[in-house]
Amino acid sequence: MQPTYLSYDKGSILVRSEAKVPYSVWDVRVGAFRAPAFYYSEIVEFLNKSDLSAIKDGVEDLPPCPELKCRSVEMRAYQRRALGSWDKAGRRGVIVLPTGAGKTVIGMKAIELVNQPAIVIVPTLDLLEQWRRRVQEELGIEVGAYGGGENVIKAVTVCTYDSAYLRAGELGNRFGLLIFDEVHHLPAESFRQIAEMFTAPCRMGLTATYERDDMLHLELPRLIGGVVYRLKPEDLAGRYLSDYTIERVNVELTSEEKEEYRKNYSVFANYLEKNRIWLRSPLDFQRFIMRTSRDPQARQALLARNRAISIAFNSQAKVDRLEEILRSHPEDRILIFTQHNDLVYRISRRFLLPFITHTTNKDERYEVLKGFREGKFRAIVTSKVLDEGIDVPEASLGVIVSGTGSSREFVQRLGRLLRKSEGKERARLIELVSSETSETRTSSRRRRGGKSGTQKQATGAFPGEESGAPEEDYPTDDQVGQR
Amino acid sequence: MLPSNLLRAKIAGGKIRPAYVNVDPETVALAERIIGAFREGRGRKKGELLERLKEVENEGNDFKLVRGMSALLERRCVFEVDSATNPMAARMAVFEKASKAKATSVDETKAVLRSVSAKLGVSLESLEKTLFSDLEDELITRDFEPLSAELLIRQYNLSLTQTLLFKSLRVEFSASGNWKNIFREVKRQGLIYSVEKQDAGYRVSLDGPLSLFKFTERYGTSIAKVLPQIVTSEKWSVKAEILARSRGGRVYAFETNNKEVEGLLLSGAEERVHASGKQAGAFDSTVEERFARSFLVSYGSLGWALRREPEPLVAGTHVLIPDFSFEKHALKVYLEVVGFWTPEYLQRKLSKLKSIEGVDMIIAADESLACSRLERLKGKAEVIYYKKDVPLKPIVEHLKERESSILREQADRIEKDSIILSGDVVSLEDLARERDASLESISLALQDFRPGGYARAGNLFISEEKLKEMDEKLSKVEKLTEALAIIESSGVREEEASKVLDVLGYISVWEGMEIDKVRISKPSLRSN
Repeated sequence: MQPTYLSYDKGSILVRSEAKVPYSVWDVRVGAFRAPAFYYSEIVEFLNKSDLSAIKDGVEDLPPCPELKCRSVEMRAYQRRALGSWDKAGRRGVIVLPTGAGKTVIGMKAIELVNQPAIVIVPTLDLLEQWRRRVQEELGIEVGAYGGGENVIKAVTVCTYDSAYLRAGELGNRFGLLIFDEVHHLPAESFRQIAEMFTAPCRMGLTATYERDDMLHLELPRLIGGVVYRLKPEDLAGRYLSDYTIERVNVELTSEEKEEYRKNYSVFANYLEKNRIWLRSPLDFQRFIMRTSRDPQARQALLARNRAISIAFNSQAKVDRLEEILRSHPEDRILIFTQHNDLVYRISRRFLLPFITHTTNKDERYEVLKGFREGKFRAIVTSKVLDEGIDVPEASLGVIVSGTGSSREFVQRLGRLLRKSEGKERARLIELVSSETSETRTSSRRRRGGKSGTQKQATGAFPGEESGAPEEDYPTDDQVGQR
Repeated sequence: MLPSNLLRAKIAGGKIRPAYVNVDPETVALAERIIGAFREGRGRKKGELLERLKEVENEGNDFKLVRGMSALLERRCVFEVDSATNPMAARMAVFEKASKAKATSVDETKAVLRSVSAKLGVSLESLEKTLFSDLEDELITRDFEPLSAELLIRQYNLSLTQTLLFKSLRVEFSASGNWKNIFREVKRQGLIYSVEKQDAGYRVSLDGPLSLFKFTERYGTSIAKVLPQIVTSEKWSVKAEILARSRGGRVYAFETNNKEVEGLLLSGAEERVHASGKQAGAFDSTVEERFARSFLVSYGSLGWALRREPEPLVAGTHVLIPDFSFEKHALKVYLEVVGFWTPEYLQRKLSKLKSIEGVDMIIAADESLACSRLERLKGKAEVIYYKKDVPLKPIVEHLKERESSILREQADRIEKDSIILSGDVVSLEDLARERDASLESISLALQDFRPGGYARAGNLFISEEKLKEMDEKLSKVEKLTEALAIIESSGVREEEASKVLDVLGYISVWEGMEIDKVRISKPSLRSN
């Protein structure tokens, strides 16, 4: 009997055998059975059990790998339990822990446990740097990286979701362990293919915000395994995480701004009324956006709405209020969040504060974050790039100058402040909201789902965790291509 | 190719079609306005250019059209930071100082700037100018390579078609030519194709490995990159399935051909010609190029004509796209250099090869790129393994072997008995031409051929009467130059003339370096 040959081909497994194996389909184009790569371990298990013929398995091509051993890091009790239940679940599954609970440590311990080449997929370049630094220090090895112009493969490699999607065909058979940081990104249509194109039998997902508004998190059990461990922030608050307060500060638009706002907003509102359009859900809004590509008046209405929102988001009054906050918190380490880059630069120019946006290069990001940690800079202005993952335990005050209504974004932004650090008593998050504008609704939306009483001086509650279904915002100008 | 959000397309009756723009006065005027904005933007801030483009947009023009054209033109620009000092270093200095001073009011920040500028030894104005000079809006348009409105419109239409193909699940196309470049691109993009013979030509369908399991637009971008090569062909047609996620994942058909969009699309060849110098770029020194160069240097004298990227070879539902062909004596040997490979891949290639008769092909496979640890395919003479560079020796050996065996074959086919010489001087070249054989094979076949009444001198057969006549004339002269003139006057070429002297038993006597002074003599006569 002919042996069965297995090989890897750009995200799939080619099987040359006399009989069909599970999950495979006959591919006439090449004259072999083909199966998606993520069934690799199932196929091997089937072949081993069925004992049909000799197996020549040339699928995996693992880079040379030293013993992977952590130097000194100790796990906290809950981290140990999390890793234990992942191990017991067949080394597959998602661990849900609040931000600041030390997910990187669990990831590194998983690498030690599996002791095989591992790849960590992260959403941003900042997280790529952070993981690389931590793994390099803790495991004492050189770490490979894919993303931001780099492509070096090593026994432990960190890679952005974007690069992993583009290069899954060539990286997919090089690792035994696959870790997705901020795994809630994975179910997106394109990123899903990363999980499907990798052969790695061991898979771990890490996140603080598991559920998605579009319910696509239901895909995760199939791709990497279901939730194997979960803790809420209140389980850890005080002992492991910083206590915090959230305040909403209403600011009045200047009178010219008010005038402009009203003028523009009424163009939008009148159009909707005239055409009997109601925007009650993101889907309604989506339909409206589609209408704008056919109907020039709809587009004018949309542009007017965006101008109005931009006035509310970027109000001079907010900048003035920010000045007061900066003055009254001379000792705090402050993160300032905005929705758009324009405002980032405006604030940076006005207060001479370092900024990080998605166009900021690697060197500058590194300098800014390092300077912030060391106390050289007292604040960072940023749009969305710092929302996720990045560790700045020293940050004690957050100011949301503008943002979407997404409670996931809100939770993540708050998460930046929750890491414990010496001398930090309690974290504070201040939202600046233009009163009498649609922004008040945006603000409520992002905080909906939090315990009642989060509006002012609410301690310990964690918005977004309770309802379990974070709300996405309606698309603003990003989707319609506003510069 | 454009950003996906700038796609303009129309859907009707289950079909989708890019919203092409015509080369009409209205669109030309718009294109010229946009080109003008870029032209005038030279030497100014990018922010000003963007402002101008926004104005064009706000005049009631289709914003996606304006932005699409602008995106194409932006690629023809060089933007630069306008600052003598490093903006980032300046920022870091200023921000650190401001943090230390806890500056918040306008006066306080001004003071920070003043003190840092003094420390850096620059003026306050130049520090303020430097500080954010690397932000997009602050960049200066150093250069812009314009193009005509018509070309811009046609390039836009091509890009629009490509952008639509981003969302394609699979594509079928046919083309009347340019196969080499088409398949080269298909190969480069890692797509899977199958070829079907149809009437006059071939129909090729393109998708990727995972298309088998699910509808995926993963390969759309790669497919889009092949399009310029397809439309470069004189006649072509394209049929694609386009997935519209915004419409709940419905699939629409897109079909077009050269007739339908005549004059609307820029072809790939045109695109390269009109590409700005920046985009055309320099070729990398690839394995293939290094091979070609060293082959010509070391073995160019062997007389093989080396051709890069010869025509594709069709084998059943597949094509083979060799990288080189070596041609000599109606003999053609192909070479394909394989980068990334698996044993299956090579096996498949070889079985494809077997299915085309009479094709001689060598496959060079990169050992270091073998993506499998399976043992190599042994005992396949056609496969050569290499590291870093394709070795010349085994290939040259293969060529020599093929050459001598084909010569032997050809020589064997020449029937010596049938050769009848006529005339005073008959050259091997003439005989080869008469028989449509190579010179090498004729000379191999006639190595020992001694026809009556003729003597052989080099590549010539000369009648004995003619030789006698020449000998008489030669006995009357002394100088070599005169002797050669006599021989050449009988219809013998210069390079063969000295061979005739040899045959007649003459030797040249050199008395110095000048040819004029060389004498000829016949030692045999003297001794008689």
